[in-house]
Amino acid sequence: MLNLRRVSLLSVLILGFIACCAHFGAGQLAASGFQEAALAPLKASKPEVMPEPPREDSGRVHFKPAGTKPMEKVTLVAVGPEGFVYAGDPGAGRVLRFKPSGELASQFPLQETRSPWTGLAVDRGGTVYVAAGDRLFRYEGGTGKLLGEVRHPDGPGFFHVAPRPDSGVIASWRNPRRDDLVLVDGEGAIETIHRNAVSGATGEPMGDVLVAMDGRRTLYAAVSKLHAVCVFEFTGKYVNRFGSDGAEPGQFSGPFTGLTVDGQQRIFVSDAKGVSIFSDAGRYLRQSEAHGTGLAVSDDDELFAANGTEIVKYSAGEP
Amino acid sequence: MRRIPGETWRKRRTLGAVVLALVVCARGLASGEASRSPATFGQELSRIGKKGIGPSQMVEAQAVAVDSQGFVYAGDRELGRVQRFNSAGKLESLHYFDEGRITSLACDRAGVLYVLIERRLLRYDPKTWTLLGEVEHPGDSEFLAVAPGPDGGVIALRDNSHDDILLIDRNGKITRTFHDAVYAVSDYSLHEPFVAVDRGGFIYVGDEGTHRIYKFDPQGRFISRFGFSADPADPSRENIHGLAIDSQGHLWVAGWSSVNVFSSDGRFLEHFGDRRAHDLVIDDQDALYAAEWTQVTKYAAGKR
Repeated sequence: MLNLRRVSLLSVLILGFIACCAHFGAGQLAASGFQEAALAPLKASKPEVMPEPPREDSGRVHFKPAGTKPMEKVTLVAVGPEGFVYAGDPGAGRVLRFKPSGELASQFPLQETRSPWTGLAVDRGGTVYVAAGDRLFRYEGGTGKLLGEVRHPDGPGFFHVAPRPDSGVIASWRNPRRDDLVLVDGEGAIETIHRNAVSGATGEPMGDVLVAMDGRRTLYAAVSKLHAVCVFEFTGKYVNRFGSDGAEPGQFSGPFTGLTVDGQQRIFVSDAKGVSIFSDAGRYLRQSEAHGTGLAVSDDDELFAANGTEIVKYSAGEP
Repeated sequence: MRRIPGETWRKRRTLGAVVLALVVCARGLASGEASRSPATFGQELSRIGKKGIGPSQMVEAQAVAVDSQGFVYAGDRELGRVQRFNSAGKLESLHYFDEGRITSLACDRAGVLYVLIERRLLRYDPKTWTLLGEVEHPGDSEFLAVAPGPDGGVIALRDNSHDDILLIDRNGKITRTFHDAVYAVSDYSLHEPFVAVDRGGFIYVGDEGTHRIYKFDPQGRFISRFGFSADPADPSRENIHGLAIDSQGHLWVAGWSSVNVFSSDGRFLEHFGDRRAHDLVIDDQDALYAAEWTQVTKYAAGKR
């Protein structure tokens, strides 16, 4: 009898302890801004498709939308300063915005659906830049509201766009006679045009050029026609170039599809062979395990690759 | 009323104490609050940045400033840029300077950022990085250091044939000049100096050239000087790489590979080894920020 009482008493104590934990734990959740998730009423109507949690393997995170139209041909990716990941889905004419954890946060249709869609970038202020149909449009990252268009004085011709480390973006622009590098400030105004930068360095117009800019403000231009990456100072002065056509390590095959740089002075270039990594001096380091077309890097040096149906994040140590 | 036997009463009392302990324990676990003791003097509190050239990364952070709103500024000499972090350590913005190498930074009480770059002292609104103006430097005079000053302005050192200590008001105007302040008592011109002012307006100048710290009263009159030795066993390491004063009047001095604390009369108090800082600043809450090349580290200062 005494043992039974003791067992009952112990049970009450344990239950009380658990109740206390639950009570104060809920308060903590509420204090940390998670109250909506914790207290949301259950819907009894039609069964919902449960969001698929982001898949992780070997430190990688796969970004795929759950409960909405899947991505079919995602070729462009960008990462904002808050860690939000933007996927460009040209087939559906939309931009998908993922939380850093991999969950879909929002999506917005492009108000200016032009094709081909060739560039996507997010600047330090969270403004999304879309290069499509030779033009460069600006959208508010959180809402998808069209903010305006960056207009080159010589007309349409924008091809690619990438974030600057300070504010604004760098974009490539071309016409049949020359290739420019265009520096755009945080308000969307053209700050500087390095006229004839690429075509001046190579001796002839090169057409489609991918661009990137590192923390030293060095400018990189990946020229498909040349199978090489050209390097420029911030002032537009040509420095050198690296790469050639071929199947050997460090050589390039087919058109370039992605170009980005990280904070560790590495340059990532994607083409038909995959993603190759170079030092900022142009020395070939290795082939990446990443697969994808469009490339982007976060402030934490994580590499993001657009892979058709998903975006994959590779940890800072990789690849 | 039924009387409770003594043994049963003791059991119930014990049970009550156990339940109370469990509740307290549960609350502590649920809130995630470990028993936080106040930060000890010199304890590391947080870090900003890591090695690299990307946003929020640093290569050669050798200047640091903090404003009254808690924004922290890190000047990177190699990358030629200043990064603005909020009080949580998140990068708010960064700005490149094409004028040259950044030597020193300071914020006045109004939040104006003074950037010493290539011996010129420029004033910026760091929210927009708008250039507000430049502090006058007649003739060939060159600025050597800048720090938060008395009355909401800043204090600066200027090489004007010898050396001057300047008090600069909130509008960037020089209000007082103490000519040849250090040269008059040392016969040496300042070399890569640092300057700081305590809450009483007393001025301290740390001179890399003579490895000494010179103390002046608020009127610029010389009071005393004392030698600085970061590593007594190795005199070659008697470098001064930063100077800051907390609310208790402790003088924090960055050396070659350590940070040392002195009383206001130059008495050695504390030594913190393995800290390779190149500039120091202390905010209103007695948090010490040290520019440590690839990061800015926040330490507890104030009460010992």
